[in-house]
Amino acid sequence: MVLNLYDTATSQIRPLKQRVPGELSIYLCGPTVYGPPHIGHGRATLVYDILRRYLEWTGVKVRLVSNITDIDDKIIDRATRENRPWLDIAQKCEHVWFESMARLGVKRPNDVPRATEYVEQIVGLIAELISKDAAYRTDDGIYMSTSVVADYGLLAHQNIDDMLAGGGDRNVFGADQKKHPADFVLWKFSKPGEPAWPSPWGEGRPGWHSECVVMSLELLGEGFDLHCGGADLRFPHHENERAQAVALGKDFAHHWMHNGFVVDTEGEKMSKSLGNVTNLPDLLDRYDARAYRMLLLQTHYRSPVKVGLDNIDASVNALAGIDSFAARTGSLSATPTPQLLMRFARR
Amino acid sequence: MNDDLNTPVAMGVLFDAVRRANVAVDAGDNQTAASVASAVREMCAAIGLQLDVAKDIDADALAKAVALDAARAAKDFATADKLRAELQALGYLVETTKAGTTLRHN
Repeated sequence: MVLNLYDTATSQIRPLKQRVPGELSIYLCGPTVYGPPHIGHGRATLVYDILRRYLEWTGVKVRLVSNITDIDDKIIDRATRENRPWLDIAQKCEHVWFESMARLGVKRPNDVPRATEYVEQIVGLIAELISKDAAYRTDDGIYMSTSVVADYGLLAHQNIDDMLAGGGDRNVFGADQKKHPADFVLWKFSKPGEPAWPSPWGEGRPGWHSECVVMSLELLGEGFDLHCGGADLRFPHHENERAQAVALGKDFAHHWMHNGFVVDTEGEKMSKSLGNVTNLPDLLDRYDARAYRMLLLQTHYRSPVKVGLDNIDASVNALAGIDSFAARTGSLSATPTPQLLMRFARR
Repeated sequence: MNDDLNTPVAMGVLFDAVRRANVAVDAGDNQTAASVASAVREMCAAIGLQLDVAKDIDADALAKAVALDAARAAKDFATADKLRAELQALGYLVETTKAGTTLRHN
């Protein structure tokens, strides 16, 4: 069985190769746990659940690693605002996350590494980058020098100067002491009262992009098969993960897969009809949890999808049709018609 | 599916098969219906689409689901969590919404 899959790095549909024949190693960027999951998160897990189940159905042994970013500015901001311990927010949000995933029928990943469990290894990676002159210190942290990566911008498919001309957001391009606007933070020095871990450069916390490169390589090893996530992660997150691996001479992911956005083109109309359901638990409270999977199955994973009352209703109806078929044929069993399965798999 | 995970095309095959199975059942051709229906069930498994099999859920599990809803209504969340864990151990996906608890085979 050969699954041909679009690869963001090469802009081509090409065979998804297996490092070990019969096995597939996948890293999926998981949530930053500071609030309830929204419907975009639902898509970014359902698409890969469908991929995983399909691969398993064809007999491939899948190892899916998907992290939890349990330390981040957004978690700290909320903790400060609500005067609560940051860990309490991270743990409760992680619980809500997996509860929603169970309701969606998304299988739990084989490994769920948390960023805070890998701080020591992240510090090690940053030290290595510094020793190779690929990172430098500023007043507020340690930064990656993107100019050492010859093909920086590969996943974005955009010249870095064009991106800068378009005006990026400050998190990406900010901080005045940076040597190049695209340079990004690897280690952020902590302010008083903020959660902090020790490092040779001063107490602080890891940058988001360093977390995922460390956790993917630690658990899946060099040259793992597939790295995936939502299209919004292509740049800067995935580009910056890749940049660190390239700077260290490490063989990183061999294939990159990104799913399209969930778009609300119905604007106010959507908010009236659906009560503006952008929060995943709300959607699951109102509709058969299978409806969202059905809606996504009827959309190509790279296309944007609208989630509105009309298409959710259509999905519920499609499910009713399949359920009634299942009820009237439940007692019938025989060898599955092979031509049907071939058409299903090949096309 | 092997062509860039083209699920809309795969779903077309699946819906077409559902129609064929229904037609075969109506015509009393149980042999065709059985083969096509089994293929549909295979496809559903491949994409993680659970068929509604509520009728196959045994009475003991249903009783636990009813007790779970009662516990939630009484705000006895310890009991509700215990019942949920028992149902999950029996191999059910337990979904609790405002409308109540539904069970599906995992």
